[in-house]
Amino acid sequence: MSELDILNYLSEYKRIFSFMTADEIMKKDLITLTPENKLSEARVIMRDKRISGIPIVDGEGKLVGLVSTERIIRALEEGVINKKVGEYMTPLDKIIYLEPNDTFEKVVETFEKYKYGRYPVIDKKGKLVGLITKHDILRAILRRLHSIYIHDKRREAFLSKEVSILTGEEFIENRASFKYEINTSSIMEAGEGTTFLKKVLEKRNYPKPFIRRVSVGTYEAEVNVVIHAGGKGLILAFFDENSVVVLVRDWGPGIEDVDLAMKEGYTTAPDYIREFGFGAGMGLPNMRRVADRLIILSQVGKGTKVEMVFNIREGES
Amino acid sequence: MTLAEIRDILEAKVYACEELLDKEVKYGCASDMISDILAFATPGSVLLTGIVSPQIVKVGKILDLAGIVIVRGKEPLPETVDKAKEENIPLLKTRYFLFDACGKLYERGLRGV
Repeated sequence: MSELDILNYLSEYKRIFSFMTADEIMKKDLITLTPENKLSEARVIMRDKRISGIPIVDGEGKLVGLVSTERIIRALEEGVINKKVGEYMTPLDKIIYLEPNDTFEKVVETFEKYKYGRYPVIDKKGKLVGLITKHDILRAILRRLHSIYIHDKRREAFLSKEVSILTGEEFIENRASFKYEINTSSIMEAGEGTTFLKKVLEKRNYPKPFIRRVSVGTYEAEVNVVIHAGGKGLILAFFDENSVVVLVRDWGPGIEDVDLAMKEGYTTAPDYIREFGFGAGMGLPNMRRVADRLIILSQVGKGTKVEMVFNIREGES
Repeated sequence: MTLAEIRDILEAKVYACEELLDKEVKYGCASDMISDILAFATPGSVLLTGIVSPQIVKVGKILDLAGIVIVRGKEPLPETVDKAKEENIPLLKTRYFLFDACGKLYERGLRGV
C-alpha cells in the first residue's frame, strides 16, 4: 500500500474515529536532543533507532526545532555534520505541529495537507508532549478496532448461543459472578442493575476509577434495553482479578444499522425519553469510550447483545 | 468550595443528606443530558441539572459525584429524594436557571471539569 493509499484510506474513516484525539494517537516516549547536540549525534540515533526525525527541545522541554533525515543527508553533503543541531534544525516557526486535543479528523487532514512524515504535539505552554507519524495513527486505529460490529451470518450463531465472541468461552449463567434480570418498562427504573453491580464491585475492592468505567458502560447498555427493547433483558458480569466482562443482552427489536447507531448524536429514542435526559445519541459512543473491548451484536427481530471487556488500566489501581 | 457554601450561594433547599454538606466539591458540571454527564463529569463534582427523575441519583452514584443541584426551581420527584437518601448523595434545589446558577458558582471560584 503506497502512502497515498493509506491517507485515502484514513480519510474514509475520519468520522468513525472522530472520538479519538491527538493525545490518544501520539507516541509519548520520545527521543529528543537539545540545540547543543551535534548533527552527527542525531545521525547515529536515527540510524540506530530507525527513526526519521528528532524533535529538539530546550532545557524546559519546550519544542524549539526538528531535525529530519533529509537534513542529515544535506549536512553530510555540505560537510557540516559536526556542527550543532541548533544551527541547522528546522526552527519552530517553520514546523507544523498538533495539540493534544486536536481531533482525529484534524490529525489526518494535517497529514493530507502538509505531506510531512511526522508532527510534534505540543501543549499550550509549548512543551513537547508527543509525536505523531502515520504509523502511530494506524497503531491507534488497530487498538480501537477492538470494537467490532458484526452484521453478517456469524451473528446468528452467536446470538443463539451464549458464547463470548471476544474470548470464545461459554457464558454459563450460573457461573457468572453477577446476574441481574432487567424487567421494567419504566425509564424511571432503568439503571437499577448497574447500581447493584457497582456495589458488588466495590465490595470486591476493585479500583474506583475502574468501577466507574464498568458502571458507565453497563448503565448505558441497561438504559438501552429499557428504551429500545421493551425493558426485558439480562446483565451478566464475570469477574477476574484484573478484568471484568459484562454481557448485556435483550430479545428486543435489534439495531438496524449499528454503524449509524455508533455515530455521536444519532438517536432513535422517542421524544418522551428525552424529557428524562436520555436520547442524546451518546450511549454507544460512551460504551466504546469506557470499554477496552466492545462488541455489539444485533439482528433485527432477534435482539441485541453487548459484550464489554474492562481491563484494569495502568494508573487505575 | 463545600456543598454548604453552594447551598448558601444558590439559596438552595436541601432534600437529602444535609449531614454531608461539609463535603468538599472539586469541580462543577452542568447538563440535562445523562450521556453527556456520563461522558464528562468527574468524581467529586457537583452536578447542576434540570433532570428530576431518580435516574439522576443513579448517575450521581455511578460517577461518585459529591452532590446534585436541581435548577429552575423544579421539584425532585419523591422517588428521587428517596433514592438520594438511600445512596447518600446530597440533593439540593435552587430557583436559579442553569446558566445563572453556574455563573454564581463560577464567580465564587468553582471551575468546570
